[in-house]
Amino acid sequence: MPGLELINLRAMMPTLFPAVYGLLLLVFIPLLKHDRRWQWSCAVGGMFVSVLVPATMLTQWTFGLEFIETAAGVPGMAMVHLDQLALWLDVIFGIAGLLAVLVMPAYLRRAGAYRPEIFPLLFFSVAGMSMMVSTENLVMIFVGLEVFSISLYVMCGLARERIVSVEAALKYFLLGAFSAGFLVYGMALVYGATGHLDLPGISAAISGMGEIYSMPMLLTGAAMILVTFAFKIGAVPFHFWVPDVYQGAPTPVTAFMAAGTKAAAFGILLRILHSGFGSSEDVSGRWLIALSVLAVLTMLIGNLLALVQDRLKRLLAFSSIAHAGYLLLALIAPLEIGAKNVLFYLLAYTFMTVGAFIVLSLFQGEEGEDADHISQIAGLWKRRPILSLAMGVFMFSLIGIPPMGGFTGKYMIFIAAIKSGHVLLAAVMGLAAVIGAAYYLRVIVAVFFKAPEADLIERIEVPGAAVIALLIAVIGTFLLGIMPSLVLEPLAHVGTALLP
Amino acid sequence: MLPYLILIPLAPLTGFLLVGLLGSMGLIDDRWSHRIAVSASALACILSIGVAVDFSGGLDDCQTLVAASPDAYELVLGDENEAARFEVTYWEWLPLGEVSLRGWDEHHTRLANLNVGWTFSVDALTIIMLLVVSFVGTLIHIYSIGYMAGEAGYYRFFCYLNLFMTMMLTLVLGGNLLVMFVGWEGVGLCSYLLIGFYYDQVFDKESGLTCADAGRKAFITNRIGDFGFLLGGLLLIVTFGSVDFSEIAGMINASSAFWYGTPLLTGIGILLFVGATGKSAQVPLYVWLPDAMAGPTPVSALIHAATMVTAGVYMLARMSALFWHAPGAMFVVAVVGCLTAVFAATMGMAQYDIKKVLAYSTVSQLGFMFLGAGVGAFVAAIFHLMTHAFFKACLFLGSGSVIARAGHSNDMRLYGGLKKWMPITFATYLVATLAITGLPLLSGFMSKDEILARSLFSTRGFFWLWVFGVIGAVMTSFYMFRSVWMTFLGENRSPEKVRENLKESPRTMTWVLVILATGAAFLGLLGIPGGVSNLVGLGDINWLEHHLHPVVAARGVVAMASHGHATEAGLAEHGPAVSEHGDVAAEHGAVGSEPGNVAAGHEGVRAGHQAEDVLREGLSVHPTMGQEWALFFLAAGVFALGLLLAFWSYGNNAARAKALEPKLTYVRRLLYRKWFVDEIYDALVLKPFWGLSRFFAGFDQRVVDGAVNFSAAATELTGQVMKLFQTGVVRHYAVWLLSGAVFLIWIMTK
Repeated sequence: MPGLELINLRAMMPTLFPAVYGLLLLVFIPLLKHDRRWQWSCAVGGMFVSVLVPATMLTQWTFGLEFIETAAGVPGMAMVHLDQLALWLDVIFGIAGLLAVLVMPAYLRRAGAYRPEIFPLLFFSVAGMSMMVSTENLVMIFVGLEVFSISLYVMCGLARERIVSVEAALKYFLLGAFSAGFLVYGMALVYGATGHLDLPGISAAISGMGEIYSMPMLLTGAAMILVTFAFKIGAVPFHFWVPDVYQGAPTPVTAFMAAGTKAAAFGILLRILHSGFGSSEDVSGRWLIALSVLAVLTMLIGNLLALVQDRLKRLLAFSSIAHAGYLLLALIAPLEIGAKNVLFYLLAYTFMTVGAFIVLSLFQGEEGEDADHISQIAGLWKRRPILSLAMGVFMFSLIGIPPMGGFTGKYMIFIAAIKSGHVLLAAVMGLAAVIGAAYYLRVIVAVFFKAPEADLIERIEVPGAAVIALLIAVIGTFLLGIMPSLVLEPLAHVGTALLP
Repeated sequence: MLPYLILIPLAPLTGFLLVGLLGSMGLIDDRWSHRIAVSASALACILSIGVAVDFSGGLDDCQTLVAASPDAYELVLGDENEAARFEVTYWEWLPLGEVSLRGWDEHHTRLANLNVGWTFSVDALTIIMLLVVSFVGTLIHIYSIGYMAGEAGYYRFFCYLNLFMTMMLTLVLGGNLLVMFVGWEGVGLCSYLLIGFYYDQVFDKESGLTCADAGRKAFITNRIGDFGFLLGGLLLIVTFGSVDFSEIAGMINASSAFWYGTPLLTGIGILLFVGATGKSAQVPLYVWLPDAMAGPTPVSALIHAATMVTAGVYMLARMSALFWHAPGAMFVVAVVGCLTAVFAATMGMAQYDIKKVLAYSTVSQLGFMFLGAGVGAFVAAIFHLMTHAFFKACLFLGSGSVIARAGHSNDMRLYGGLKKWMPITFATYLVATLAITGLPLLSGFMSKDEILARSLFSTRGFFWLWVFGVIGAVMTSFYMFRSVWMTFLGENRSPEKVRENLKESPRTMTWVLVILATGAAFLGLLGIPGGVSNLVGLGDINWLEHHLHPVVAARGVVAMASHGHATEAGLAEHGPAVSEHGDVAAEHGAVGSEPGNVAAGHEGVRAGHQAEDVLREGLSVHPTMGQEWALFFLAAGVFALGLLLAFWSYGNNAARAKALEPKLTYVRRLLYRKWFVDEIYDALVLKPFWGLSRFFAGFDQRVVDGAVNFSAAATELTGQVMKLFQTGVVRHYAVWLLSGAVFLIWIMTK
């Protein structure tokens, strides 16, 4: 085949594996139709390998300072660009997917919405995210974004017997499509201004521009690209979809979405902003201001709104908005000290948030509907002490209490913000974290100190797979808190590789 | 074994998790609870012995290991400048990165790399502590099987004990201040949990306080001390930009002349010592320890006698380089230690509760240890720590054996004549008593009298320390024999019902007592003071001194003294200037030989010469042969005097004891009520504190709470208002999205 030698399959492995595996699953699922256990085992095994592939690649390459493989030799035409950042993000997607798939069938079965198609969809979305973050080409970024978004729209609406699920899917789809329009428009404008679709090209063009006429076009384009990803991470005021969708989607899907989408969007923001628009002080100064404003709004409003929620899925949705705010703050710090914080926080966030959603996914009413009202988990400690402890760990980690990973992550972001001179932003972050503590503690109080109200908790079952998932999440949360250097050391050079 | 240090605390940690989890789920019965816990502790003990064997076998084997990964390991083979040491950094724990430090003056503001690792370090001192903690700890685990049999919360007890072992071993192994602090706080937590083990039972009938209250008292008192410790630690970090013990010691020793006697070091030393007064129950923070007796007796033996309370002494020895350079702080340590030794002993003389007697005795003995540390006899202090761990654990466990059989009563007035029923308990208790009171050649004699001799002859000691120390020793002898007489000898005074059931304790308990008593008797042979061995012509056979001295030696000070001497000697010829120049060497010479000798320049030179010699020998003057004999007989006399006094008042004549009571009413009352210290604290500290608290509570409820509630309400209101925007209608959301986009574009292009 002509041109095959130009394709570096190794560089595409992390993307290719879930994509191909998903396709295979799609084909073979009809054959396994009557054996749910097999379908599920195949999915779990595949997801495990999806973590393993980027992880092994990372262990091979962390010895060098940086690793970059591109899929095509022609400069400016490389469609795939695999570096440490992409690999780390791939690991995060895989972990989120693995944790979600572990509890998926039990939840869906009880909700009466078990459809094996969810597994290939999950793989496609992982592949899409992976595709999006392992490229420097704007077109590929868009393709990746659509691949994972469309899979997610479908997954949200999977419990189609439930009106909320359908509503979530529709809302997510409409608004997602709307926001994706901004990305395409922005890309067009940037291309018009610079003549490039690849980030290094754009960066070079910008530094060559000086102060010329096409600046407004470029900046408008950049702003529009920013809009799309601000939407995906749920930054205020693009956050309105988050609670509705998180609430309506099946809880394991929500868990995956909360961690995976956030990691993908932040990863690619890191890349676009620094590799693409970081070469000129003038440009980067502008998006820094934009991000600062978004960060302040997101941190404060996310936490304030979480405070008045009684349904835990909504509460966690707003909490995820708030955490997006902290992550925006991490983006603002200079690359050398900021990039590793973004990835560290994303990893910690994946463990604690997915863990919390997994606990919630065990609470289902008679009809399999979500029972996530705060009164419904009251007194859990009396009936299920170990489960309560896990929930406690996640909540404390989300607050940011040592020795959990959430603390280390917050601390690093906080210090980086102060070191880079954003003292005011750091102060806002502190304030927001204090507000945040209030509602997480509300959950803790309900779990540990309230008397059981609903008889629901008498009946909850904890399947073995959920125990494993929770164990992974708890261990991850603690490990990142107690031995942060385990991750921070290999992460140290991720940022510098992104410098234009 | 050395690279696997981390397994030592990990073994009991695993035990803690297993017993705690499985026990709380009801998956294991009592038998498995203690099986797991005891084997976890025994494993830690075996590992510790392995480490000790490895360490004493020389560190040469480790060199290949260290060469393979120099980041993780640090190896010092030991020479004149540094003691042998092996350090492992398991992982980077708090990657704080570069920190800008404002130094002791503005010219020294600098960057320091404060990446704190989870570091374990082993040197001679660690080895001693490891062995004592894990060995005595394991014995007490075994003893608890019998003592706690049938108690409610059996698994809980063992799970706490294992957690305690974890924390104590972490404290001992910690190679830097922060790891040590984890252990330091951890043992405090376990102490609290275990004192309050019978949380709903009343332990003090007069005040009606429960065991939980006693636990709280211990915890709060310790917080006060820990506050000092924390301040000292932070000051240390700010000053040196490091938390690593060896690094700090290296920095201080490298520029001794600069650091010597600086107010900064003195301040750090005193603050750290405040932490020690809390943990090790010294004046004025000792009040919690007697109440800590509310816990089960094995806990009193393990935590409140043998291990945790000695953490303060250990910490001082760890920081010896700093203390050598802070004579002011050492003076404070010595005086407080001496004061505690005497003061606590007076209270011990009048208690009727056998555990209270032992508690005050512990406070008093800890005072002796601090006295030793304060006069620079760190080795002797650690030696006493070690021997004390054995004889006091034996005494406590012996008292536990009695209490368990005597109807769970602690009151010695209801004992008497128990020798008949409990021969093994009696024999071991007696041996331990002879050890603590200092029967010549038993362990307590060796260690305590070494401390006393040093307090007289060390350059940092002085006459009155010694005098009070001796008085304390007489009282020790008195109250200990008093407890022997009241408990084991004479007529039995137990109620009929109790008497019928009196018998010896089960084997698991008596064996432990025998082992501990053997240790209490013979452990002293490890550190026969040079003075004693010289008397019988054996020469210097003090193993412990040779083993430990490199760790706690006053390197910097000695080097500085001998170096500074030459220049100072030159200066001295110019007359009286020398006597006032404040030079360390001369000062030491002066204190070491005869104060007041430095008056004239001529003599200053002589003092300088002497100082050099004195300091070379480890800041101590060796007494002459005659003085040695005098000390020996004095020590024996002290022992005998206490014995005779106890015999005279309690021994042969019950009638006399009765007759004595009214005569001594006032003194006894004063002592029995512990000098009214609790009452004084209540009036001077707690009452004003409560008053202030009430005032602030009012302020808090009206003003602060008002503000808080207002801000909380305002916050929630904001949330509620913002919730209104969350309409659920896609059109509205799209509008927001669009306006957000416009806003962003405006920001970016404006």
